[in-house]
Amino acid sequence: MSFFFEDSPSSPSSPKQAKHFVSFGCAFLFLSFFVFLAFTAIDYNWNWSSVFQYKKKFIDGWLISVGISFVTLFFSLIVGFLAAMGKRSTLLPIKYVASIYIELVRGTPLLVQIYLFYYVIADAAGVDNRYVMGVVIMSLFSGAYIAEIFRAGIESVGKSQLLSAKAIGLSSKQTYRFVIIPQALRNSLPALAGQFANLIKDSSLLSTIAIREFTLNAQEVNSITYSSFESYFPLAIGYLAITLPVMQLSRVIENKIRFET
Amino acid sequence: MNLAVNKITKRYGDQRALDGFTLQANDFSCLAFIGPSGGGKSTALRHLCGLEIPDSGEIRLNDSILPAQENELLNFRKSIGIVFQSYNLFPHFTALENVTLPLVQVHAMDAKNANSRAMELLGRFGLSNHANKRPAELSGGQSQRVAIARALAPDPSILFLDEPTSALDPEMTAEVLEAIESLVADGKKIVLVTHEMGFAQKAADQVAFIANGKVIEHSTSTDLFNRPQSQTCEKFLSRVLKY
Ligand SMILES: Nc1ncnc2c1ncn2[C@@H]1O[C@H](COP(=O)(O)OP(=O)(O)OP(=O)(O)O)[C@@H](O)[C@H]1O
Ligand SMILES: [Mg+2]
Repeated sequence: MSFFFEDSPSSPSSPKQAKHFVSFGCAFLFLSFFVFLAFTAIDYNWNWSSVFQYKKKFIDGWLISVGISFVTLFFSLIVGFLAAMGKRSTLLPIKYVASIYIELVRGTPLLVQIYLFYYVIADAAGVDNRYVMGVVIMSLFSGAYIAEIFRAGIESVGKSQLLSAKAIGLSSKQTYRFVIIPQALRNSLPALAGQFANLIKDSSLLSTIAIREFTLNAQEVNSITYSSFESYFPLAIGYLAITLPVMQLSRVIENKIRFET
Repeated sequence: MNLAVNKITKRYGDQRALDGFTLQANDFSCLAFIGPSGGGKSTALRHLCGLEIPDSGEIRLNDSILPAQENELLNFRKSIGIVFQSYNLFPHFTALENVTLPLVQVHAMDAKNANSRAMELLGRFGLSNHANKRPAELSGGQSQRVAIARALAPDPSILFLDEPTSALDPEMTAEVLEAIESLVADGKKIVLVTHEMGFAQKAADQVAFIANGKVIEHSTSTDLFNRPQSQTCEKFLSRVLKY
């Protein structure tokens, strides 16, 4: 019976790999069974071959989504850093600009932000490249979350270290550079990796303003081939192919940091 | 070394941490602060080393007044060394990097000289083999010796230590106290807060007894320990020396 239970640190270790493999397989089959039931119940005429013809469209869309997410990650790190520093500023107007930005973005749905930005701000500012717009919207959106991640990272650097920095004669700029930021970044890494996974999923909403990313392309394949939802399977798998490794990476970093300190 | 503190006060909310703290210590080489917990020893020390600014009163070190502006205080702090009870070191740097950081960034030493200066001091405190370890890989006593090495590296005119051994077990306490004692023997000027009465008696030449935010009594360590003048000090000593 103990075969299906996780090893406690004290128990004699049984063949560990095999054990997890079998349990994972059981869980997978069990869940697949329900999915199978659901699909047999709807009595649907599958049409995989015509969807498969459009595999290039999937690949292109996937590359666009991943590309937008990477570029966005870069800019949202900058936005998030500035907002986090702004929120700590002793200059009150700056502090409030940063707080209002963070609260507004975190308090409204991304879809609303996309529409507002697309129909109002981009129009007024005369931006007409959709991809630029998409990256700007996503960077502002993600930047607010990253600002909060950085804030938590900065606050994780204890008061005693700040006093030590003062004691050895570091200026406040040097304290940020050598003491706070390196540790805040390191402590923020797991959450940042998680945020990157969110970014990839959230970028699917850019399909609503006709950016030819993964989700939009999948929807197009559905309508071209007159199929209802075959394309959503490659779509889900395409997202998982990048979010699962990223989330795993986040976990690995978290453990590494825990063991190092 | 001369230290003159004239009626400094400091409030935290409605708590008077320092309440007319006055002390005139002339020609000391090692000055120890002793006294009951919450009496204001750490607060006094933080003011002496320019980490905090008093609400009123003034502090003179060798006849120069401590500035009351943060940017000038920063310059003052560069000329002294400070070691706290614990958590002195930056956890993301190795022992060596902890020592070289202020040398390079604050004292504009080049990396090569900073390294050899740091290794010289780590060697002096028996830490040569631990130079490349992070604080998490060092014992408490080793960490404190690294912290002392870091404070000493820029050759400060005076060293301030706040209970450098109170977070350590007896064996590590001994190794850190030996390190401090060797500094006194070398003529380094030191002000320290300590609960180690034996050490205060042996290594310090002057002792101040602090309670209720004031200096209740100050004299040579022989006099203070053998002939305390005030009742509070006598009571305190009889209690702490009992065990
Ligand atoms: N930053 C602070 N904020 C509020 N109160 C403080 C602060 N620092 C010190 N105090 C208060 O000031 C008083 C003196 O504290 P201090 O730490 O100087 O005592 P101490 O003599 O060093 O005691 P111990 O031997 O326990 O270290 C205490 O009542 C303490 O609660
Ligand atoms: Mg104290």
